[in-house]
Amino acid sequence: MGEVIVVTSGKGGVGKTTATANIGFGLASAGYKVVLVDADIGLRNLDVVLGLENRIVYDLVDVTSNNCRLRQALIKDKRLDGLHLLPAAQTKDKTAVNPDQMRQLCEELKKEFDYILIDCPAGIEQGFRNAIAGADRAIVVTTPEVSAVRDADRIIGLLEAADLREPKLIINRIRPTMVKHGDMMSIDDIIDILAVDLLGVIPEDEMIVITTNRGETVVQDQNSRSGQAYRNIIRRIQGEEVPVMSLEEEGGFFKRLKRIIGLN
Amino acid sequence: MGRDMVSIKGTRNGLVIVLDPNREFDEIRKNLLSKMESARGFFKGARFSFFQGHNEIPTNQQDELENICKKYGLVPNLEKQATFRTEITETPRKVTRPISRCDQGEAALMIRRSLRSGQRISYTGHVVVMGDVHPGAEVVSGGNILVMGSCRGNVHAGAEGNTSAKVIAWKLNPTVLSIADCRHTQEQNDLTLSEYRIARMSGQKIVFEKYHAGRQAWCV
Repeated sequence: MGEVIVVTSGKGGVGKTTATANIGFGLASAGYKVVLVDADIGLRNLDVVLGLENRIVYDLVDVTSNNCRLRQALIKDKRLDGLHLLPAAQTKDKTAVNPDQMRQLCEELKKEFDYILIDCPAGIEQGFRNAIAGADRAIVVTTPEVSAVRDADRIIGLLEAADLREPKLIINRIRPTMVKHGDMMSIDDIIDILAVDLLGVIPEDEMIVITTNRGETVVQDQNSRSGQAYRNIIRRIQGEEVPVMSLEEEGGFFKRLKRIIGLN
Repeated sequence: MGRDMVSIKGTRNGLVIVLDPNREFDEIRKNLLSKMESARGFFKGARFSFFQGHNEIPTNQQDELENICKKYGLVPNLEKQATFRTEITETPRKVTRPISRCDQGEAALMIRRSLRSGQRISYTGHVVVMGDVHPGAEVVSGGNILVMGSCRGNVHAGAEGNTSAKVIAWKLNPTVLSIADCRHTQEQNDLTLSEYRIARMSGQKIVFEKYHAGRQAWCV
């Protein structure tokens, strides 16, 4: 029986879709059977991030309204055996699906997959309630900004009310030098406010933009720090204990050299 | 999802219809309708009142729900929610010996968790929050507010005009703190101070100071 994990944030633009794609790709590389479900109906982009846009025939709404069978709508990623995508509909909106249908869909996916990752839309309305309906666990993504943290807090409250206790936190796009100068909230500040367990910290990294635009994921990149951060998260999801990596930016010549030749 | 968004409980004072405050009104209404439909007149003639967490239901929505119930033959209870509230907050206690000079005891609402952004508590008596009050959360109390953890949200003590109401918290750093009609927006408070602090009215102003348990004339 698989596990349904919803990736949510409240605020938009903090990196839910990127996180979903990377975690999904990482879990599939680790040998699991993974399906990524794009619950952002009307504003789908998980397919774009994964580079699978041109392969969409049927979507989530087709499945829930019985226009097609589940198997027909699932897109298999050619790069990895275990990775699948269930895309969102682009021409409908959030009301095209209801929480009961999502619950049913998740139950069905659980029979076949080890991990079902749901990319939740921003906001707290119907789209959010659909996305969390069938979830067993939740990952909350935030950035070190007051507004994102505030929204994350609201989301955690709503998750708890929906019996999704102890969500795990990913802090995205942190910039260590800014934190050091006191210009950005630190990990401790954020944890202090949100009072939840940390799943991982992703440093700000150009590689995210570069890989995303190519339809690739940063976990594939062995040299980038953000890729390493995602790989750590994936190990933690599997139950391993991995310390949070040092965020000190590597300034030394030798360290950079090591990185370039792939020793670090 | 474990909790029902609408559950109907029988009490001494008639039925109490408990609504989950975290659901959309539309869902609640549909659920209530289906419950009433499936009861097939079982509740006919019973007195009822609503209870929605500790949030207030907007009057227009409450009227709508009330009308649904009336349609199925239920009679609204005029005492509203007051009775149910005191029932759940007052735990039966055996007093073997007087614990303090305040032998009478006062109604207080115990919140056994932290309040997160968007969550609101409103109560006519005192409010005790056993966790934190996060930024964006709101506590409105007719009496005092005690926060065992840090208080960073909006708190309003003595909301019905009681100027002797107080707010006490471990790390008292509210966004807005009000006592009776006096409003105080965030300032100074040193976040590194790990001690209980108290906010109270002094003349026309709200003052903050260290809270010395036992030394302040709390009960008088």
